Amino acid sequence: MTSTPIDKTQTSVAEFEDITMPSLGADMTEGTLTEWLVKEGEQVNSGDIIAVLETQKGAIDMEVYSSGTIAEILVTPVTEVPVGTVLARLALAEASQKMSPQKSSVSTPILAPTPAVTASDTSTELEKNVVVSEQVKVVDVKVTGVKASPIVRRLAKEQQLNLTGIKGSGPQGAILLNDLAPLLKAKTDTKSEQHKPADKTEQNMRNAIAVAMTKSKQEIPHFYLNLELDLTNAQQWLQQQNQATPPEEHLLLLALLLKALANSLVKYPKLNGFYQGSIFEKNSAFEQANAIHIGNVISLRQGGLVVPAIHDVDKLSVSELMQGLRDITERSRNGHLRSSELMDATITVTNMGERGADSVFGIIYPPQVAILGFGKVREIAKVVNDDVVIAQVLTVSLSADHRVIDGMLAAKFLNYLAKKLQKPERL
Amino acid sequence: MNNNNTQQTILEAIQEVAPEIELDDIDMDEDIREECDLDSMDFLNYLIALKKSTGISIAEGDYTLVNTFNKMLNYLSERLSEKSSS
Repeated sequence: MTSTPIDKTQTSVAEFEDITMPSLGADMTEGTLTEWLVKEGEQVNSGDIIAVLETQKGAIDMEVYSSGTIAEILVTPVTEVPVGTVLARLALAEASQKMSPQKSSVSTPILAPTPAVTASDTSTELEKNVVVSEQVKVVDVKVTGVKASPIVRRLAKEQQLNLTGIKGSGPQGAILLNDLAPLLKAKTDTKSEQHKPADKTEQNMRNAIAVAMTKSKQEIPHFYLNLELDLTNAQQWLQQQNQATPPEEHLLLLALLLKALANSLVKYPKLNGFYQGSIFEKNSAFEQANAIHIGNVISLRQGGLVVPAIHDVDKLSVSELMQGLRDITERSRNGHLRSSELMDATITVTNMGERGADSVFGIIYPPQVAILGFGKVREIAKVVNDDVVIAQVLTVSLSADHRVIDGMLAAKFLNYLAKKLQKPERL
Repeated sequence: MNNNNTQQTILEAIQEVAPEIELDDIDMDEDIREECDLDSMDFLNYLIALKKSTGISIAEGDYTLVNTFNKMLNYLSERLSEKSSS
């Protein structure tokens, strides 16, 4: 990823770093570079948004993870490329502190499947249709009144496509690049009927999930525990809080659960971090994360899912955390998730919600070492001090990596989480 | 705001969280969350969208009064007429 200068006496040799198409989830095989927000020679700081990507998960703001100067731009918009493709080269600033989300997984995503098999077909095919020079004369075609993503509008203008009548799968029915695929296809190519890019995208996504999850199950010795959490106090407290507040200050149970989880991770940091390498390599080891970034599984209405992280959950108040949850949910639906949010989670939570199942056992997302599943809240008859009372409970499940965590530790962790939720006002 | 406008306002708020939903998809007297497949976060964002467009804030205590499309329509119509007469 970085090339170390060989000649130590030569002080002016800059170190370069490749900026690649990031893997923004286990199911991502390729992404489309739609716009550069920087030029060659421009200085950037770690965390700056430098490009906009269009993916199966919508439009994503791509960040840079080191500071330096954009040395070379290698891919011009609009081009679809497989995950891991070098998009640009960055000349690192001298004392550059890298803040890569998951160390090695950034440049060589552990989960990215070999793109050669599944992605190449689609990408070359799409490239043929989609690669558009920036200098193309813009022809004015009526695209007003139709909701479409910026890239779709531009393509429609450039290729004089008629967007009316296309059913969009984006927010508010907006037409996304994927929805355009059949049209682009019809315009340029009529001979190969068996290829349908939209289906292919779905197939690629399924293949990528299959590869990533199989790899996780093969390499990580998962073990599972669950515990029934009594949420009677928490639900009562929430009801009191929400009784008279306007909707924008309304708290959901998930905010309490995540806050209690973060507090429990402070006490049990072994569940929060990364296991790098495999047991067959010499240097494999667990590294505790120094921050608590909780990835939240959000189902997209058009199918598939996205797992954006809320950062530093242990340092947020419950209401700040609630704002954070609303914010990532909204951006998951309408675009502008940042690439780092999809890459730097230190642990993952999947929440079934109140219409889901009683419990869910997740597959760990490597290099993380734990995933928690929250089932739906249900009412049970519970014996308390020889009396039967109605209690509201929820089953939390923990899938943990046995290379790092033992059963007793996992059980203590779950019991601590249960205890924290008994005093919601203190969270 | 007449009834038709209010109906359109509610539909638009729903479409902010569930863009694929059309009026025809909704049984007006059934639970709106079931009808439109809204989770609790979606429902909250639906109420926030309505607050933005109508100025009316719905607290949790009133949720049972707005859990179907028609109930929401009545609720908003009443609150809006209170607002304009006061």
